[in-house]
Amino acid sequence: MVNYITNYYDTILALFLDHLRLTFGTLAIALLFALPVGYLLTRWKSLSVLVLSILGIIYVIPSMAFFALLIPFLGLGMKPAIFALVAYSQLILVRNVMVGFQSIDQAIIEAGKGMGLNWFHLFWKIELPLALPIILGGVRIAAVAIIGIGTIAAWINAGGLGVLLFEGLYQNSTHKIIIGTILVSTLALITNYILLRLENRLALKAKGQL
Amino acid sequence: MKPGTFKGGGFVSNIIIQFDKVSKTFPKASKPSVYETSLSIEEGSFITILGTSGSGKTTLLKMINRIHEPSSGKIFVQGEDITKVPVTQLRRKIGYVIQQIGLFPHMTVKENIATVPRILKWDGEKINERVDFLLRLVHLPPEDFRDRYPRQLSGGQQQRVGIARAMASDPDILLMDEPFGAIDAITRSSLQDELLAIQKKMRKTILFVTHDIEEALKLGDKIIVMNEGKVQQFDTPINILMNPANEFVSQLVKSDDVFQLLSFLNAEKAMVPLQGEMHEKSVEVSTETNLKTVLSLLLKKDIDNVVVVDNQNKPVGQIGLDQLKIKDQDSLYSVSR
Repeated sequence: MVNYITNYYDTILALFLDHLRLTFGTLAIALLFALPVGYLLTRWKSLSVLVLSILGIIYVIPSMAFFALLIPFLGLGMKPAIFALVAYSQLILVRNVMVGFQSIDQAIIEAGKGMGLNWFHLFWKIELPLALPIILGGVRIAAVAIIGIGTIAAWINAGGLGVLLFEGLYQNSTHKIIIGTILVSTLALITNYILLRLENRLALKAKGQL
Repeated sequence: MKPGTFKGGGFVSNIIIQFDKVSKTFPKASKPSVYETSLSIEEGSFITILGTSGSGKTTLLKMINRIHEPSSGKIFVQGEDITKVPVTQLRRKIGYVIQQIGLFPHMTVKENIATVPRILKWDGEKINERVDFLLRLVHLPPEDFRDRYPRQLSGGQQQRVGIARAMASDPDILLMDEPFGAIDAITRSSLQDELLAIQKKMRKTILFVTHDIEEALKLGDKIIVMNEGKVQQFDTPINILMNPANEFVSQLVKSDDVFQLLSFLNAEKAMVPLQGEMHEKSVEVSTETNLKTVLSLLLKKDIDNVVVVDNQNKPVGQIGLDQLKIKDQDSLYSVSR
């Protein structure tokens, strides 16, 4: 195994970086949808049940099946992988964005409106900073899920650490599976830790304890 | 000072807020919360709006800064139809204080107060001066409180910041929705006194919603008594007590214990000429002392009379238990004429 690492460390590193790109590219795109959708659902509560149900259904589609389904439309590679991972993360992200904005004490909003803040100021100065810890909690859970499900995306040529795992399975080489598993777990644990720290910091800030 | 802002000083007062046949029915409500209400509020006056929950008092208040929109009728602020002004512009000249306070928890006291001045792009020095001025006005030493967060303050201190924040951009009008409702009795009383002092000093027009008769009597130059969406009486505290306009107001005033009436009336209104010689251990009160205090002195100190002294500490009258007996409307007249 040590031999494999010393001989192929550049390949392993490239796969690791691919996985990072896949994860954070997906997160960025996913948030572009989830932030406005979650925020708007707090205004139109009647729609939220429907939207969350649809996202719930998407969430339970088995990932292999979902990737396979997308091949006729998006082909192979990063594109269908990111599409599927964005779709998966919407349930967690939209729900947390919604809960984040809904958890704000209505008196704070009324005071802000009453002093003459417009929509823009109310959102950036008051609502977003107060909702941010809960939103970030969603980002953290989504990130860990994407790192995990992202390994399966190697099956449709999306690259990433899943390549090591699939190769290990096909070639019956245990060391590839072990290296792949360790790297994926480490990435997930470190991502979780960093985002958790950030989340706690923002929570203290929102409560006025920092 | 602008002409017309004196009360009872020979000037004709300006009307700052006017309701013209305003009604409000909330969606799915069977009855209107406010019904066909017309009112004129004079500039610089302290108006308390008194009523039980569901009387429409809060709705009436919150239509002025368009938190609620009237279903029909028009409201004018400083002569302008409020629907013709951009809503943020309207709200920036109307301070707003609510019972739940609603301080921004992620901002310091200074940042809370400076929210609107910052949006208006005031210069930093001017903002600092304004924040310190307002903190002193509400009796919070700026050097101790400026950089604290709301959660580090007691309820009373939080509402002091709430009042300072409402006055940040120097609005002419303050709307207050039961601002002291959730604050303990002792702190509430000192906040009331401070608010009266602030109003005297700053000459704001204040509309103050309360369900507490004592608070309405103590603070208001005039009181709006509301019930079932209608104004029952809009009058001075004395007239509300002495000349209730209808059965509802009469019940409201009568159903409260005599202590509450006494706490509104001050010593000057009940004293009788000095009789007999002064005792060394006689207790002195000022003409401004309320009769509730006088009564408790009489009960606690084992004395027959308290001596009332004026500003120069000169005895001007006395009050004994006889003067505090209110049996019916007639004796109320004789006590406080």
